[in-house]
Amino acid sequence: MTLKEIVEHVQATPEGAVISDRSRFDIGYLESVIITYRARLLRLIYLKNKRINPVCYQKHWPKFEVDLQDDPCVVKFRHPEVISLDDMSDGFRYIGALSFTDAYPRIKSTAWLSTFNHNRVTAANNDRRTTVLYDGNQQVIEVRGNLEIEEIMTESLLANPLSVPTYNKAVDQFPLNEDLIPDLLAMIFQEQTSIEATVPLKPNSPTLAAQRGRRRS
Amino acid sequence: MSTAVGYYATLPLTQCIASAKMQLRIEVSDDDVWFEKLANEAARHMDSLTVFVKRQCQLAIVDGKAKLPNGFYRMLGLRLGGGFNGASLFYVDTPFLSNCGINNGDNTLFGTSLINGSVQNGSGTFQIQNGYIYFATGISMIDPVTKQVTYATSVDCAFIGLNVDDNGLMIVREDMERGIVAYICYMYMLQNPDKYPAGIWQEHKATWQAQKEWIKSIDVQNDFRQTRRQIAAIANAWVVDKNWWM
Repeated sequence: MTLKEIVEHVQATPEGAVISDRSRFDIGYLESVIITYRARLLRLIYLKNKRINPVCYQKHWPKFEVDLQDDPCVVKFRHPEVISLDDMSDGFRYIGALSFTDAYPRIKSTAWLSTFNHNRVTAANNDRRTTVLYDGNQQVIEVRGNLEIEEIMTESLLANPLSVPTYNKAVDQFPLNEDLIPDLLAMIFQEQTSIEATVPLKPNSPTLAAQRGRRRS
Repeated sequence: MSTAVGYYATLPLTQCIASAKMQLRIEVSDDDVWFEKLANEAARHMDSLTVFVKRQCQLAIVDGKAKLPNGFYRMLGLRLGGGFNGASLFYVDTPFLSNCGINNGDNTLFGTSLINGSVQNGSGTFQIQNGYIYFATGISMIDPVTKQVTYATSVDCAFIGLNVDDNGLMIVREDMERGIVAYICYMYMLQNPDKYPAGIWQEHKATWQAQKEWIKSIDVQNDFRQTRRQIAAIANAWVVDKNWWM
């Protein structure tokens, strides 16, 4: 399913499969809800199965930006936010060379970088190997140990699938396997229903009138 | 130390890491740096005869000292490089020599091997401390014509050291792979005790210990094969020629 189809599904279900311009759901809002719940669903699936369907991964080829290179010891590439899966793993599956033959060893955080640099074998800047560190705050991948690199490739579970230029929401399949779409919709409706149930009805609401009629009779 | 230098085919640590990741079903590279440290540690702690080998290298002399090479364990010999005609340097325990009564300043004791003076003044000797070789004197020469002093800038070093590559990482033999993989799996599971039952990591620990013993025994066996002729020659000398030791 494309994102557009999922949005239509969410719009149509509460209104008897009829979509009209009087729909109360804003499309932009629905897209953001679907994207958010996709991230939560993938995390739950990973916690249960420790495996994600390959359909959910997206490849990205970050551009080398000269203006971003403000540190002489590293090469930086911008990269969108990824999903957090559990205490040991996040959404990155592969960061490395374009040929898929060389996944660069990953340093999980700046704190770990400091620890590794105190050990001769694990020191990141010893030119013996290329390592990568993802700065989530800046949304930047830092490549260490090889200043000649100008191209990398990533395969990851993006928090927002629309954040990469290789994804076209009108024609590309939404990065979620088909058998999880009903679970996604169920999560969305559960949340929507619970919110709507707490919202008081307007005085002239036909629903309220129907309730009053039933009480009189 | 084994005399069988260069006897075995070797493989990179990255192969052991890849094998461990397949065993643990780890797809990502988040732990690769740590696994490399574990693989290096496991190779070192195989503690077999081939962990130490004879090696040779050239060291630069800066400010009267030279940094020890990676994996250095015991010095075999030092010779000055450049225009010093390979003059040997000595590691001597001067208090010991004095107690033995042989360090009396006689500069012919060691023949022409000394550059200047005697052992008593430390000439031509060196000491090892804090990862550096410190040269006392005797690493310079004076041109008899121009009287110009030239200092040695390099020294050729023969030593016994860990079997490491140019980056200081242990060189792994093919038959060590299984033990190293077991060690990585064991240490990884110890870090995640809630995810792995005790029986699983204990199995890996047992495999690591068994492989370590196997590698040690193979090395001892091969070392015996290398040296048995020498052992036989010495034994024969004792048996055949009784006058040899009488």
